Amino acid sequence: MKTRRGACYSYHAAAADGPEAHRRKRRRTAAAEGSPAAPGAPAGCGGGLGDIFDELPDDLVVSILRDVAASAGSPADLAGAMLTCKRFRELGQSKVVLARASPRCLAVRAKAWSDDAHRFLQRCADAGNLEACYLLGMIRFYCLGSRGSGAALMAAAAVGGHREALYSLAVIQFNGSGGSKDDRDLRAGAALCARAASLGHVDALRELGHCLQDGYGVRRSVLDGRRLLIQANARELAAAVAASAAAPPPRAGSGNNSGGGKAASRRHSCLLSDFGCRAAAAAAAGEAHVANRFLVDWFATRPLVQAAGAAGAGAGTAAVSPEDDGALRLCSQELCGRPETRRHEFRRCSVCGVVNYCSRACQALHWKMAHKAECTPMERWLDAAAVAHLDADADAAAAAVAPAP
Amino acid sequence: MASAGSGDEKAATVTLISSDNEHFEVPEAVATLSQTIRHMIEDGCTDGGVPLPNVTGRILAKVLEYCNKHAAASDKDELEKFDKAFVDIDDQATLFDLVMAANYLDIRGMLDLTCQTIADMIKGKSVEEIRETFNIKNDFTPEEEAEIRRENQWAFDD
Repeated sequence: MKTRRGACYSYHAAAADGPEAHRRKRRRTAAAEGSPAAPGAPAGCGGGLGDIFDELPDDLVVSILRDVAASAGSPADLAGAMLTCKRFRELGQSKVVLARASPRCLAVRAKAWSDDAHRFLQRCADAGNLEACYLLGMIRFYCLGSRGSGAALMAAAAVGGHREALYSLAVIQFNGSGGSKDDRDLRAGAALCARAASLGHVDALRELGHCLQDGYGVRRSVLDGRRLLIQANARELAAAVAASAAAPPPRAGSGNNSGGGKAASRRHSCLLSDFGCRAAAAAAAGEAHVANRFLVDWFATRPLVQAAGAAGAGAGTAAVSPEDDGALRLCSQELCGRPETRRHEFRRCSVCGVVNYCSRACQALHWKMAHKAECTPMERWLDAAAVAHLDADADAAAAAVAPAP
Repeated sequence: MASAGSGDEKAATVTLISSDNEHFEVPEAVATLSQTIRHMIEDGCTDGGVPLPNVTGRILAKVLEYCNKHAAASDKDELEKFDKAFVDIDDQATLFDLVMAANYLDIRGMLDLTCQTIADMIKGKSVEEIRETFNIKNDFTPEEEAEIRRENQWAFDD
């Protein structure tokens, strides 16, 4: 750690700066000292007053940059500070600053994804930033196809108590994502869900509630399940009320809100229904996590490719065409963004068969927000009609062929 | 137990001497908001006053204003309002001097407050605006700057 006196000037001045720094500092304190310090230090400051940050030792500048990162509304806040001069750039990369970067500071947008963004997230994750671990884990797992390192990053975040990471890992366990159907581990998924739920994660509460009601991965207990579902609704409502009470408008810099905008147009306010009562304000206010927004944006512009080596159907691993007999699908809950990692990984709505979901929580939410209005067993009717039509044809044909009795 | 600053048991005070030789007598309860001073009192070396060569009288007065308020009041809203007004200073140099003083005297709350204030002044500005506000010299060469901008382009696209 650099000392307070003098060392911080070593970036600007060529010579060792002990006495000069001291002189410049004394120039700024009250004149009682009486030394008319020569402002002639060629330390790279402009004329006149000079860089006010020169006064501060490195550890204070790091504290300030850390506060910038912790309260940043977008990555541009921190990046802008780091672009101002060499000293800021160097200090802004210290682990103290990166570890405290807020979720919004890490909000990389899918459109802007690049190696540099990747490296930034990696550095933040290395510095111990749980949010960065989670975000990078999600990106690597779902978007870049590196399941192992993605899961490992998410696990690191989960160990640190990051509840979204716990929930995402639960979803992965429930679905056996990244592996085959036999890799599903319901008990592990339920345990992770329980941990996330105990930290207050609404989707995890809901998921666990359904698991309890169905005896899925846990011992069946309808009453406990129902209790958790109601708790989830209550939490969601409370969060929405708190959000609308604070009511700051979503910042323009924090990624696109197209998903939120759609949801905002469907404000429901029924209380405590079984199917999940997400006040749309929550989603609209940008509460959809950065990771989910990233996934939604990413797959909006890129075709879903069946990952090479994914244990799915034995289709050729070089297949790139999304029409590779049964393309991978996205979770139909629009704000979720999770894709399948093998064919038929997600479960479909049993009524209409059109939509499919990564988890019961997404199913419950989507039902309330949109699907309730659109779910019709249309395919079944069409299938039935087609069968009836065929039968009629077959009868007619048989009648035509067979000799008339 | 009572510091050597004064013989009065009930309202023990300690004298703080700024760099320009101004004397401030403050109750111990107020002065101990500063961990530095608290340690000195505990070690019993406050006889004759505590010299603070790094802090001028003007800044020390402001610091004591902060300490007085925070030692006395307990209502969160009131303190919040006070804090907001406290850092609402036009003069950047004073703000930075307060940061240094809070650091030297180890007053956690004031340090957090002033650092956050400066951080708020940095956020939301473009690079040029930040440089201008704080008179920071751009010591990148044009090539370096272009490269760094490219590296960070992902953060800026809006």
